[in-house]
This record gives sequence, C-alpha cells and structure tokens, in this order.
Amino acid sequence: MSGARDKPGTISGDDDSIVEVDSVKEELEEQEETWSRLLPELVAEVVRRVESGGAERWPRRRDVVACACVCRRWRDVTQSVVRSPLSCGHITFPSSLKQPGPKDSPMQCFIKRNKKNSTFFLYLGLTQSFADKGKFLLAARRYRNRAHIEYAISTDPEDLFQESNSYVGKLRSDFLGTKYQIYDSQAPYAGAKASNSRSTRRFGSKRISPQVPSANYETGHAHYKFNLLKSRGPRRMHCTLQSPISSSFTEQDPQPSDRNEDDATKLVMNKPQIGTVVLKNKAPRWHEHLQCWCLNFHGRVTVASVKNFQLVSTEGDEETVILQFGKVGDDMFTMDYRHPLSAFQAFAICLTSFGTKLACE
Amino acid sequence: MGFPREADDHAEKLRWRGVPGVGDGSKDVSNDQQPNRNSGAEVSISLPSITGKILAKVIEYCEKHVFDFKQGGPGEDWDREFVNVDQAIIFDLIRAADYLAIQGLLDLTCKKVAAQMANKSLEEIRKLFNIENDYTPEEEAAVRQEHPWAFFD
Repeated sequence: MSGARDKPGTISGDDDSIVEVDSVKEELEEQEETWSRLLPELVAEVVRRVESGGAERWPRRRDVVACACVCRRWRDVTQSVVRSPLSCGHITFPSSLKQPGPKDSPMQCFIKRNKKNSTFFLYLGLTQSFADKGKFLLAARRYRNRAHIEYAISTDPEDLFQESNSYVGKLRSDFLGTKYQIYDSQAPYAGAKASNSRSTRRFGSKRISPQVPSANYETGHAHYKFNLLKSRGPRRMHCTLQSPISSSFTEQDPQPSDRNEDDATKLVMNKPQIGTVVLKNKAPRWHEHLQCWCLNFHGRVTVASVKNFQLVSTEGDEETVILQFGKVGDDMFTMDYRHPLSAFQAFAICLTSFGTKLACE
Repeated sequence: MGFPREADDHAEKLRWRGVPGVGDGSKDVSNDQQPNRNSGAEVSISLPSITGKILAKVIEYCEKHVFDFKQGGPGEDWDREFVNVDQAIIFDLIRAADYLAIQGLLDLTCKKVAAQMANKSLEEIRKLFNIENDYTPEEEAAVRQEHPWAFFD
C-alpha cells in the first residue's frame, strides 16, 4: 500500500504508487483473455487430466476433441499431448482415421450397410458385443460415375459428396468390380502428385473451404482375381497401399520433452517415410467334415459369406491378420484392422468386398 | 500480467514457516533464514503475479496438507470445497501452484478444471472460460469438421 517499508528481496514498481483504478480496469480486461493465454505447460496439465479423468474412451473422448477446438493455443497443446492410435490405441481426431492402427491388437469396428440408399457407415466398437451403438467414424456412398462405380468417403454421415468439407477420399472400381483404386483427399507426402482434380461444384451450403485443396491422390489399389478352376472357391485379393514406414523414429509420437531437441532432429523424427504395404488374403482351409472353406475369425464373424476375408502381409509375417472383415447380420459386418493400415484404408478395402460381383463367384 | 506486487495485506504470513513442498521452484526462499520471533526479523519472499488473496489460499492449502505423508490429507471433501471458487481464482491458483512447485495443489486445481469440461461442447467451454475464437480460416475449417464428428450421436 504505502510501500514505505524497504524489504530485502522484494520487487517494487517503478514508483511506490498505490494501485491505480486504471490498472485494475486493465487487469480485469486482461482477465477476460486469461484462460486462452494460460501457459502451454499448464494447458497440457489440464488436458492430460481431461484424458485420464474418463475421456480415454468414446463417447467421453469427445471432451478431448472439444479441448482441441477451443482456441489456437489449446489446439496446439492438445494435439501435442494426445498420442496417435499406433502409440495409445485410441482414435481421437478425424486425422486419427488416416494414421496406422496399433500393432499389438486390432481396432475392432463394425460396418452397417443401408441397401436402399447405397450407403455404408463405419463405427468403432465400444464393447465386445455386436449390439453396441459404437462411435461413428466414416460414411460412404456408392454411386455410378460414367463407366465406374465409386464410393465417396466422408466424416459427415449426412454429407457424402466430394464437394463437402468432410470429404476424405474415395474408392473407384472398374466395370467388372475386380480392380479398385483408393484415393485420399490429402497428399500422403509433400510433393505428391494429384491423380485427378476433384469436382468443385458448389453444392448446397457445404462448399469446400477455398483453402482446402481439391484433388484426389491415389494411395492404393485392390485387385480381385478370377477363380478359373474352382467357380465356388474363395476370391483371391491383392492390395497395395502407401503407408508410413514403421521405424524407431516414426513409431514414437513426439512427446513434450522432445521440445528441447533442436529443430533439425525434430524434423527427422516427425517426417513420415512413406512405403508400400502389400497384402493378400489368407487362404482358407478346406474343412473336409463340414465340406466348406474355413477361416478362423475368432468369433468376430458369424455368418458365412463370400465377402468374408482376412488380409495378411506378403512379406515376412504371413500369420498376423492385418485386416479382417465379415458378416454378422443382414446388413452388419465387423471390421478389425491393425498397423500398418489406417481406419480409412481398411474401410476402403472392405467396401471393395461389397462391389465385386462378376467373374469371381 | 500487470506489474509485480507485494503480497501486501498478508505480509506477516510471509514469515518462513518451513512448509514442505513450497519453495522448490521459488528462488527466494532460504532455509537458513528462519525468523527469530524475538528479533522481529522477517524474510520476504518475492512472488510476482501472486496477490495476497491467492497466496493466502495457497498457504491455507499447504497448512492443511503439510502432514500428508504422516497422517494423510484433510480428505476429499475439504479439497473439493477448497476449489469450489470462482474461475478467476482457480486460474490464479493454478499459476501459483506451478510457480511455487506445489504438485498437490496443481493436481487438485487442474483436475477441477478438467472436470468442468466433462461433457461440454466447444461453445460451452468457450463461454465458461471466456475464451474467444482466434482461428485462421484453415483452422476454422478443420474445427468445423472435427467438432460435429466427435459429437455425432
């Protein structure tokens, strides 16, 4: 107050003035912005506790997304605190849908088909049961585009057009439904060439933001092979996809402590190296007693169907199932995927299974 | 934030009391300078940006938790009531706890804020914490995709 006492170790203002009314007012105005200016480390402390306070799993995980949407600082901090699906086994942001899944155990999802509208909806399973509501991940709409059949994939179940802000990629098939290309709306790596331009027609009120590049980048393909000899035999699939290479660098997400590393090191660590993953379907075994082809779906597939498949790597480990897809109800299918596939890639591959009609059965 | 002020109203409380956990991060607290009651000597601690009011709350917390290791804390009810205060005070407490490196208080206050965010939409959080939207158009487009996706039921 009067400031007359001279205490050692104290810091006083330029003059020993009493707090002015003006500076109180200034302080109150500053307080209006204080939460957005909370130190990043302290925002991180809060966000970590949001995560550990029940928001590890959906639907509560949306609390973490809300934190990332509040303002720039909170967004930066939340995105640095939250780990990728590969590291933590959880899907958090829409961007997680294009990141590889975990290595140790698959992400268990399910797909609901709406035959009438030719639409498909991918959900993350929340429990072991097939009856749970799930967390919505992606939607796809099948349509004809001249001589091709295409599936537009989106994060908005109500807006399934390429013009949408929520469009994330598409699948395109040839006339026979045996060859498919997978397109990503985002460049998989810096300098990638777009395959073709995306339609930019205005459609309703959900026009693409002008800043969003409107192109499609081919990131993979899937082929089905004829079964010349055994018309009733299982279909043979072959998939090639671009995927970030798993290495000791790219496996780990940059943690806050990594901030101390110099920028050059960080660039090497964070830059995704893109490689090619080649998958084929696991050959079923002929069950003499049951007189049918069998694959072990470990209870995740309950209805026999020619659409059911398991994909394994063509190099090295040919036992671990990278993608498993199968019927559990009239319009209900399970999809289990793991590293190196992402949810988006897995969904696109599963959609091909709905499209194949001619020459393979 | 403003100019540094002394913890004016509560200057007496600044006498060093040997509260464990306080002072790990604060440079000005000296273990050697125990006050001698008879001489009336005082040790002043420089605490820029911490008002007297907040410091009093911090001291209250420390006094209640000083024997945690021996006889346990004052209990969840006391802690809950302790952080049942205005947003502005919680904000200052978080910063004070961080500055003074009082882990227990930092944990308690951050948990309180985290709990306030539970099941809230983006707009509700902005309103509660008085935060303005400061996104660029690109960031805005991403948010407009993310938020509805996360909350789609």
